[in-house]
Amino acid sequence: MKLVQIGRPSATFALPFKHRAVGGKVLITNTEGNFLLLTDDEFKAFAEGTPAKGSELYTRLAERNFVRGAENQEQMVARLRARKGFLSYGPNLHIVVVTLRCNETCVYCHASRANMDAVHTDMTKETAERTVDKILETTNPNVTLEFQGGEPLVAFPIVQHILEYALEKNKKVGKQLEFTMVSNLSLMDEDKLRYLVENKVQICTSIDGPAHLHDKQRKLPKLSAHQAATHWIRRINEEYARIGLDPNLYHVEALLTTTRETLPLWKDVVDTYVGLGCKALFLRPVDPFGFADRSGPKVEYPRREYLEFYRSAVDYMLELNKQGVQILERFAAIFLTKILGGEDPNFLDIRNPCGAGIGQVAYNYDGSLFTCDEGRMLHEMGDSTFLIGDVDTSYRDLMGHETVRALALASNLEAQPDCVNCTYQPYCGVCPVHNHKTQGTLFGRMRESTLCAVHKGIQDYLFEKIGAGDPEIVSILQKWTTVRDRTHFLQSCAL
Amino acid sequence: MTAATLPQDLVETDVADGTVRLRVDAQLYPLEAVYAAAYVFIDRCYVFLDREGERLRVSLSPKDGALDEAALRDVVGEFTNELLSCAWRNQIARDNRATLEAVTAQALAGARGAPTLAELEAFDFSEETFDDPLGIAMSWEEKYKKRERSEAERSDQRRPPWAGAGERGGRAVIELRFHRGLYDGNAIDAALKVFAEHARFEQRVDDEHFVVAVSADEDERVVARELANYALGLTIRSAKTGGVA
Ligand code: SF4
Ligand code: SF4
Repeated sequence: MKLVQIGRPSATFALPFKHRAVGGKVLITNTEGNFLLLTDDEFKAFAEGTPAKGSELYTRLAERNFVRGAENQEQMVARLRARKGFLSYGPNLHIVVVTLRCNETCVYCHASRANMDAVHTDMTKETAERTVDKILETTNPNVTLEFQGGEPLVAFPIVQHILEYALEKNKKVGKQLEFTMVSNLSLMDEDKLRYLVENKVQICTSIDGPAHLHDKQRKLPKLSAHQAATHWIRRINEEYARIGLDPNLYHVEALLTTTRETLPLWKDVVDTYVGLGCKALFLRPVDPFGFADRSGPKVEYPRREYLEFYRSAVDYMLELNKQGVQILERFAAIFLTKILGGEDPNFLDIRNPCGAGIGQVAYNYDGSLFTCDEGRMLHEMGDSTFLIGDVDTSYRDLMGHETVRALALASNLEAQPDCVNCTYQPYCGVCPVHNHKTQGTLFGRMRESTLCAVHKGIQDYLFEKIGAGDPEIVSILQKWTTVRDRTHFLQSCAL
Repeated sequence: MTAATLPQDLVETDVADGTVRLRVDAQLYPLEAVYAAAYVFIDRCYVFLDREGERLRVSLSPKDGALDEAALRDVVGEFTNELLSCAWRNQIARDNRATLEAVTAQALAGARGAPTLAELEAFDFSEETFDDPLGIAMSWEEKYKKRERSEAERSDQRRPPWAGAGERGGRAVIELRFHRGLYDGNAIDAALKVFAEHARFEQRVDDEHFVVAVSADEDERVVARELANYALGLTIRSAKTGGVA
């Protein structure tokens, strides 16, 4: 890396900024999330405070509030407000684990599944109702209720009961409801599908890439897990089209868990997703929760290798986009919405502060409540640190719980060494549960955090792409920030 | 800096005892940072603090019984990283206190919503101090649940490294020497009450230390080490909140 020789830095020209060398340029960012990619000479001039008023560089810097005395305070406030709008409301995402039972066995199972005979891990009707009552107490006008497991189709009557009870109860409460279900789809049948489509439940599944990899990592007794999932993805998409929904917007979403075996298969993974009609691919690294902890050495990998995988896969996705194929990468879309769009997409795990408790709550089958699903997974592994109460705890006590408060503080990047000086701070987020699991402290040390390495590496990649200035690529990246709402799935209830 | 390259005069390993001792310059690292790092480690180590002139001495004995030199050096390497992180965070929390308070207060208020009338009536305003209503300065790990120890950890019988040897009735007892500048006397008293069921204690005070002689019928060493961790935890909490609860 070559160093920019700064003569005498000016103490009065620039407003507070952070900088980082990226792709042969110097990236500067400020608190409100504006950025500029400067050449070395431009950065030198900026740091020395020499750009003449009215010059092209001065104007560029001033427009983005990097110049002291030329700042537009109203714009600053508006941008900060847009980025922190989520602070005004309580949890929007409510993850309900209707059972721990699952018919599939995965090498990295995050949910710490139970065997099919463990019927005691099914949620009872009574607990289900108390759960819905609690969910509808949130101060957030929008509620996403996500059915999870285990495998939620194993306890389908409970799913139905929760849904119907929630719709009925919401007639008095008046939230905007959205239901989603995360399922391996192998227990789907036509009756269940009809019910889910009629009741506007969004369906999401897991696809680990090509069939041989998927079937190696996700085992179903007697059946190919890949075949089962892909059959139903196609069938569900057909059903959406049949009722007149735009297939570009309405289709089954799939989630990837990147294991060591996935890394060389980046092209096959992208092709598999495109072939299934998916418009988004989330290149999530494996995390240390659930079975992934025990099978760690088998599925884990250095994050440097993950980042190479990420770059290859996204480069390929960009090439496909150039050819007219619609496929976006979710990490990129989340960061780009903040970087290019100036808004926070409210993705709870990359938010400052994160969504633990204040943005999401996880409801376990037995009525116990956690700051987030990752906290619940640790509980299943014997660490109940993130337990904040149960369905009988008052809503305000849950939100005021010391653990919720501690996580709001620990995930605030203004309180984090490294993050506090990091150029990516306006767009980033840290995960206290991950820190706690991997480093034994909620705050964590970002220099040693694999999550920080991933976030930093991805943002480096994105800024390199933006800085390279290929207008076609920049326009594709811009498009990734404008994902339309799936309004069909929103269920309002006029009071 | 890797653990293996930490200077010899700062780190001393006692493999037989399963202990590593680190000397910390008290001018460079504020006591709050040492407390905070010590606290992060009390679920995996028995931690003991003492003074040596201008330096603080931190003794770490891994609870999992790590006994070789490399493992002990790893522990101390990790501790020094955490210590640096805590020292810096301490400073940052001070510098950015206004922002942190504003964001945390807004997040919690937004999530909780307005209190009900019944809640307002029931609120006891004398309950909390208003110095730090959001607990910004308080480490959560200090106040809350550290991981429960496993059976294997409970049955660890190794001797506390910081303990002086004492003798009573011809029998060796364990003496814990709590430095008076580092440990809160009330915290030690409170810890002794909690552990009263498990051991007998004799206390005295010398120029620099509160000295506690521990004798127990079973697991004497474990009790002594647990007592020391407990007293450290309470001391840290009282340093943050201004008193032992
Ligand atoms: S603690 Fe981690 S997993 Fe939980 S909400 Fe925060 S970022 Fe997400
Ligand atoms: S987590 Fe890492 S990349 Fe993100 S702001 Fe902190 S230091 Fe920067």
